Amino acid sequence: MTTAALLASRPALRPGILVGPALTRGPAVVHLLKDPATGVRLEVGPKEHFIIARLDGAHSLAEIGEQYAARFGARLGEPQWHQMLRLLGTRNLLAVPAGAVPGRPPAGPATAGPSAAGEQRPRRSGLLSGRTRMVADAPALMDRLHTATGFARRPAVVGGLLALAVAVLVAVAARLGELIDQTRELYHQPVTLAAAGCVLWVSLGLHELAHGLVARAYGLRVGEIGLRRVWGVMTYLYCEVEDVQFLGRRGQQVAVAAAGAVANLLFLVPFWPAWALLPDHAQALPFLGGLLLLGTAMALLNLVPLPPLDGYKALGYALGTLRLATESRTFLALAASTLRRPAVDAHAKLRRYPGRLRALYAGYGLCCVVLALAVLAAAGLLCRAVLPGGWDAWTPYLPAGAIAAAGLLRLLGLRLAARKAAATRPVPAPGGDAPARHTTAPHDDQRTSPQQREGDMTPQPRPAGTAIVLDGVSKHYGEVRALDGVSFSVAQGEFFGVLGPNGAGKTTLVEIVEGMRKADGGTVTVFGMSPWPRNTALLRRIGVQTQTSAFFTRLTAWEHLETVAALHGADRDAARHALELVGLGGKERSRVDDLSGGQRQRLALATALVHQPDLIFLDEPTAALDPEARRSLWAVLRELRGEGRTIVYTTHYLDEAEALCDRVAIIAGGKVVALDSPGALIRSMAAPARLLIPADRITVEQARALDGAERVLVEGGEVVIETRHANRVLVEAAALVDMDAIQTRTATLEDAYLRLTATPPPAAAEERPTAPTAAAGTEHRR
Amino acid sequence: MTTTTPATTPGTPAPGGKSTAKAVPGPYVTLTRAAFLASVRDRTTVFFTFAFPLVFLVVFGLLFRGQSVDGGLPYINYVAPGVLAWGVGNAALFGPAFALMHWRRDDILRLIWRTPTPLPTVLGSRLLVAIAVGLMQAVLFTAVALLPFFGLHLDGSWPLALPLLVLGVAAFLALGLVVGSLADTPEAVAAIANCVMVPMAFLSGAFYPADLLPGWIRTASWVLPLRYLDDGLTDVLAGRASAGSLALDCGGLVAFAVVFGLIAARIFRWSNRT
Repeated sequence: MTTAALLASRPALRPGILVGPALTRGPAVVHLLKDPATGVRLEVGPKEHFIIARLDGAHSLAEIGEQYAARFGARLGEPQWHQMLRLLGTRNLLAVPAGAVPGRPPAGPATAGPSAAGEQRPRRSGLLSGRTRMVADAPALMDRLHTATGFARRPAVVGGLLALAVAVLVAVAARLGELIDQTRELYHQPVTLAAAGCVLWVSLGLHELAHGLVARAYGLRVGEIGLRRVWGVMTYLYCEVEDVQFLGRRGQQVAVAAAGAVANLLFLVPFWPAWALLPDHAQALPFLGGLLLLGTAMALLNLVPLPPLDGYKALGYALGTLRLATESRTFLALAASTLRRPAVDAHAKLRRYPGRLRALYAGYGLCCVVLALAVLAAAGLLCRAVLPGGWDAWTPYLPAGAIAAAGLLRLLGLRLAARKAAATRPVPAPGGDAPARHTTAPHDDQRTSPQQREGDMTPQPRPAGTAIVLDGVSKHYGEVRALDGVSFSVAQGEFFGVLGPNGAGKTTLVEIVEGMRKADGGTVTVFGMSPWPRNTALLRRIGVQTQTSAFFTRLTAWEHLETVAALHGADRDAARHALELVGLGGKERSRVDDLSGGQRQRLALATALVHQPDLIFLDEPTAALDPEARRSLWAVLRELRGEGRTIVYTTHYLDEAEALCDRVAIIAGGKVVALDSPGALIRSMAAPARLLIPADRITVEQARALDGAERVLVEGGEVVIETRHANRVLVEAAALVDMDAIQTRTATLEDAYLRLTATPPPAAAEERPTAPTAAAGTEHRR
Repeated sequence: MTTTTPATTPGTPAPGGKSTAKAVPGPYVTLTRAAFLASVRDRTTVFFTFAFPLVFLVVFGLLFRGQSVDGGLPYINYVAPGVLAWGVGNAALFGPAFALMHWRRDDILRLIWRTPTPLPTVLGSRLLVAIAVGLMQAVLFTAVALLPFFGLHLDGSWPLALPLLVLGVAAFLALGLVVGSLADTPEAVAAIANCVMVPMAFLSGAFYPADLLPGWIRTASWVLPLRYLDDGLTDVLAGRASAGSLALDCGGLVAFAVVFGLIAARIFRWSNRT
């Protein structure tokens, strides 16, 4: 569209979009924008706000541009307009896409931006900690309360209530001594103290409702009312008020924040006359006195300007700041860094803060320090009063000491962790045949990080060298020879299959290679090192998935994986990546005991892969998976191989070995009976092809008579002809049967495998009638 | 009041926030957390860990209510520390023994073996959890015993009980690791642990005043770790602990922790399959 058309358009914000007043965040001035439908919030600068505030559908962009130029002394060019409208369009903030303005048409709440996800993050709710929603429709309840309390919103009533609150404060201050004495008495009457606590708990509930009511009176929305539990010891009502900072006047914002404390004080009003009128030795005196003192203290403590108390919010609203505490800290850290050394950068950053803000942030920081000292002192006095005598000399310093000790411990811990991280970083490449692995710094690893890897589809060149060398390895358990002189080597980056019947020695072989068992004879070398005894440098580079999946008791899938990652010194991202890789992203919160067989298997695989090992042992990883999951796992395995990892793979699915493996070793009776690529193995077997013909079309005798037929069987209603001359038999059979009825099955790895593993040991040769059942005959040997 | 967290997206390039380096939790922390979560999520065990000593407290508190030993202390001053010592020791022995057996049987130890994490980290995290559980037990138990009904009075020197509790937990944890390494089934753990704990509780005077035991048993009971814990706690809570007796009790517990720890290290197995 032309510039003229663009400037003539009159876009408008969607009705209901909230635009907040100017606030300070750090050195900058920002305005908040919010879409109430999606909950998406946006922070924009004053210039953007200037434009957004004028997008009312009545003014054209040209007019707004004029005003902008007059205000800021600069004209907006076409690219800037496009950028602006695109920003609003993609956030779905414009009423109708004005003309051909680039941007998306409104698409409903589903297009919530990333920040919406932040607000709607799932809240963990357990028995001890969490939230329980108490009111199904909080806004409606607040509406009813709002109507019911209408009488109280007259200035006279509000003024009277505030006066009462002040009166309570004055009255408590006037007779503070008495009240303190009675509160002290209360500590020797635990039941009465508990009763006072219960009453104050109700007061806290009213405190929250007061926030809600005042907010509602100013037209804000109350999102949720419920109970919050903290570690099972504290349960309190809360009332979620949204968008306080969108209120036009700061006085209103402060009123919302301060309403709770006022409600606390008003709550005490009826108790005051009761307390004042009771005779001197009435039993209820300590209760009422304690209630008054503690209630007042609670209200005032809530007004202390430290996060997350109401006083902090009120201060923030009054000053028009966002995140006052954080920004103060940032500012003070910046100021401190300029003192330490002449840092030009820090000075420049510091200069961006206007004088008012400098004073504000510094003042708030100072105020925090003073408050913290006051809290420490109060805690010290409390300790002296509460803790048993005999320790008078040091009880006042107990809280300060505890905090200092905790700080020191943390510092030491961080130092130690840093030193440890530094120590484990470089793992020297042994023998120089493998690329160096860096366990904690993936960015300078030879492999790229998962994120970088995604776009890189070309398979990486195979690393040179061998991963595993076995030379004459043998192992026996008592009389049983589990392994009998096994020798082979696996190249780096190779996908190596180990096939064999149950009990053929596969597990023992894997355990010897990872160093869990010691070979009786022969040598094992993995990446140029000996795995026995437990070689931690090697273990970092090996990942093992076993059939008996071991998971940490009573943890969730995610917690388990996180734990394993930490045991390897990897971070949470590694755990997350592994979980996504095996397709368990949706099951992370399930307890490991509740997972299905297939899910357990996938979690076991993720466990083996979490530290990105160079050498991966997988023991029948697809055994409990459905066909679809199997195929998706194949893709994962191929990807791992593409990354140059070495994979040693045992399986009973020979189609799998055929599809995935570069080379296959077939083990039977503790010996390697064959070792080659799947294709070569099949060819070398010269295994016969099988022709299948429905049994009602041809008799066994007819089939036997065919030229070239070696063996004829009947299997499941089909006559099976085994032959090494499939073409000749086909032609012959076509004379008897319709060609379409004949199915041809060429030899697979399975045939080769069955032939090899069925080779009977001399002693038991006669007991084996047919090949397939013979495979089971070797099972007991181990 | 709760204001919703302002999850704001800067529309304009925001003033750059410092990106903090991600902290990797160490194996120690995560193992401790895993062990702690596993303990806490086993609701039945949690319940009995805390309720069992309280039941004993109620039973013996009722039996000996208001009585005191001639020339000694009120009964509650024997029963409460005794039952507390037994309860803490029991939990520190059974929990790790069961956990070790389970971890070995379910191949979790093999899983840990395959990581570069050293064995002391694995056992150390157990100690941390056991100490935390022991301290929680002690707090709950003491709070109940302090109720006017039981009438225990703490002497001002009670913080001295903390090192005793920590060392006691360490000693019984070491014993628990020995039991957990010996036994391969839950039944075996329970049988061995009970055979160890029940006679020890009676011979050490956990359930009645040790001052009333026959002299030779009192002398012989010094070969039992529970005796040191019981003796130390009784003295500290009654305020009659001297530096010498306290050092003796702590020393005894340290010695037991070291001896059992060495034995446990000797017979530790990563796997049931050899």
